[in-house]
Amino acid sequence: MAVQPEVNEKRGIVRTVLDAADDIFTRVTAGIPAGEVRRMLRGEAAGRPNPRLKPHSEAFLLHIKPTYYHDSVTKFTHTFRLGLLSTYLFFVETITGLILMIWYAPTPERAYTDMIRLLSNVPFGMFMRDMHRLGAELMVAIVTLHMVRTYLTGSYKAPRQFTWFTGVILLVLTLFLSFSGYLLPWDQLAYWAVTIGTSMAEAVPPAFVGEAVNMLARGAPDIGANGLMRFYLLHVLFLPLALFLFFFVHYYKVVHFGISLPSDEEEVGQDTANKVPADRRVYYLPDVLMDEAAFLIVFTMVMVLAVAFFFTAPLESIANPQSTPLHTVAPWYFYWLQGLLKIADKAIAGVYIPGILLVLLMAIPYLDRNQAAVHGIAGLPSSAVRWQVWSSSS
Amino acid sequence: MADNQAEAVASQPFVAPPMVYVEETPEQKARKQMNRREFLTYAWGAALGVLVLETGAAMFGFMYPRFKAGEFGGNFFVPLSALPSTDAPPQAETAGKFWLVNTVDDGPKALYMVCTHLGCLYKWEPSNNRFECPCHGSKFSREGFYIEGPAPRSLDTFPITEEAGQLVINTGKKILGEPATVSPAVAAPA
Ligand code: HEM
Ligand code: FES
Repeated sequence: MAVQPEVNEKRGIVRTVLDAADDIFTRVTAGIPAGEVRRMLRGEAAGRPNPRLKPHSEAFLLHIKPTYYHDSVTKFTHTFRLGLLSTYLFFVETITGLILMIWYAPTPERAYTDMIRLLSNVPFGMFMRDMHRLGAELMVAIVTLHMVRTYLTGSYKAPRQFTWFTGVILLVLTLFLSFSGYLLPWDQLAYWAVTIGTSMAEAVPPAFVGEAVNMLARGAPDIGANGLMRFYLLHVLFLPLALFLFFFVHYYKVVHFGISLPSDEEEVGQDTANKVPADRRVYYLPDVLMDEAAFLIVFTMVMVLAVAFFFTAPLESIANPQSTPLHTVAPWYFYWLQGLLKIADKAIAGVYIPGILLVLLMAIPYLDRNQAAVHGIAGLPSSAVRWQVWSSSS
Repeated sequence: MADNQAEAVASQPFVAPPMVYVEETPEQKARKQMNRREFLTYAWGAALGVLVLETGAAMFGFMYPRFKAGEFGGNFFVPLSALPSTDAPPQAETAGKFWLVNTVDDGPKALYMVCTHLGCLYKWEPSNNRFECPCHGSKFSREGFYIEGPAPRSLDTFPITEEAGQLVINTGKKILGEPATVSPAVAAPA
């Protein structure tokens, strides 16, 4: 609690007003007085007891963040900030998506013309759409890379199995978010790619279940006004909400166990969050916060420049349910599935193989028997990449 | 060590270990039984479970598509006099989403316009005298039989009945095509 200033005649009116101002300041920062903020900005060490810990217990948003990190995990090459970036991209998608909704109505009569108006007649309309599209594609890529990094560093092992499990759910939600957004521009590409995508659901056995799933997703035997509305609701409400929820389950576990240390500093099975030696602590306020903010600012600038000069979201001619175009391509992150569909039966390629892959992915930490050995790749710094051949031993 | 024991056990006749009956204390007995509060909570929980299932069923009903008469899903009528001849190209009926084709062997057929592979609209190719799908290249004969490609079965059809000089095509009832393996038109392996 901030100290109530006493109106003290001996201290004079100026002093009293300044004290009152500092009190308000301390309330806004949830516990850090102005003088301490200046010490933070000057890079001076915190006093004892550390007043910079206060906001972590007083403020809702900061209570989610750990108060300090082990200095080994703050190195860029340990996490590559990929989890942070995934979170940030979700945030970017939420903001740009909300802005796009202002000029978009999910009906076959309006969706495509709304896109055209957005691109040709709304200031920054094209910019917002390109940001949203670039953010979506980057999010798929970054989330996947984040998964690869946590795999390579063995971070999914005990006690972080469930962190990985919820991560796979987040990956699936990310893919479904991209897929549901794909239909919304209502152009030929969107329409037919989603027609093919939902047809895969039809292959779910037994036949009546597959048929029902397809009907529920499309709202009719083929995609039309009902399907567009359903995909829209999934895209702007249901899936983001689910991702939001699972993100906090995921992140709670990350904070609870602490980010895994490089292999040479930690045994598998150890939970290091609460045992960081005092001389290895890097405090969130202000060091990690500044670091993350700087990183995200640079990242955002690169995204804005990419959108301004290189990246344009495609838009084809308006969806025509009467005519299938010659080349319907899936978005790049589904190329593997498109390839599979060309060579295998749709039940195998569209349901069984993805289903089995997904279950295996979720089960990796529970199947992994190699709980101890973590091998570095020769020539790479062990903090950057640790490779383990799981289940090769024991 | 373990193996030796197993052998020793195997060579001896089986003798059941003596049953020892230990009297339970009244508290132990009482703890094993369900008391009223516990039972009521289970009953209450089960009712909640049933309610969740019922809500799920209601949501399914709520979300399932509805069909209107006169649109796709209803009956379509074609006068017998308008029936194409058995060598004419198929006629597209876009509202009913079917190709009407007259065949020598099976009489008139209404082929569902959607590819049995992944739901694209296949096209009539007059030069090849067959249907071809632009998405993954499935081919079907004029009569709707599977020729080649990734499609799992011949084209789906709608039942046709004759009523007062008219063909009645019921687009609400889809008949799945026969599996590709038994198609009479299947391409000879190259
Ligand atoms: C929307 C998607 C996701 C978000 C927003 C997210 C967010 C985060 C964040 C912020 C961290 C902190 C550490 C770091 O930056 O690396 C983290 C850690 C972790 N994530 Fe994710 N994640 C996502 C998806 C995934 C996926 C797909 C997996 C794997 C299947 C995964 C597995 C993990 C694991 C195992 C850790 C602990 C890493 C460690 O302790 O070193 N996450 N996640
Ligand atoms: S949808 Fe026709 S071949 Fe795939």
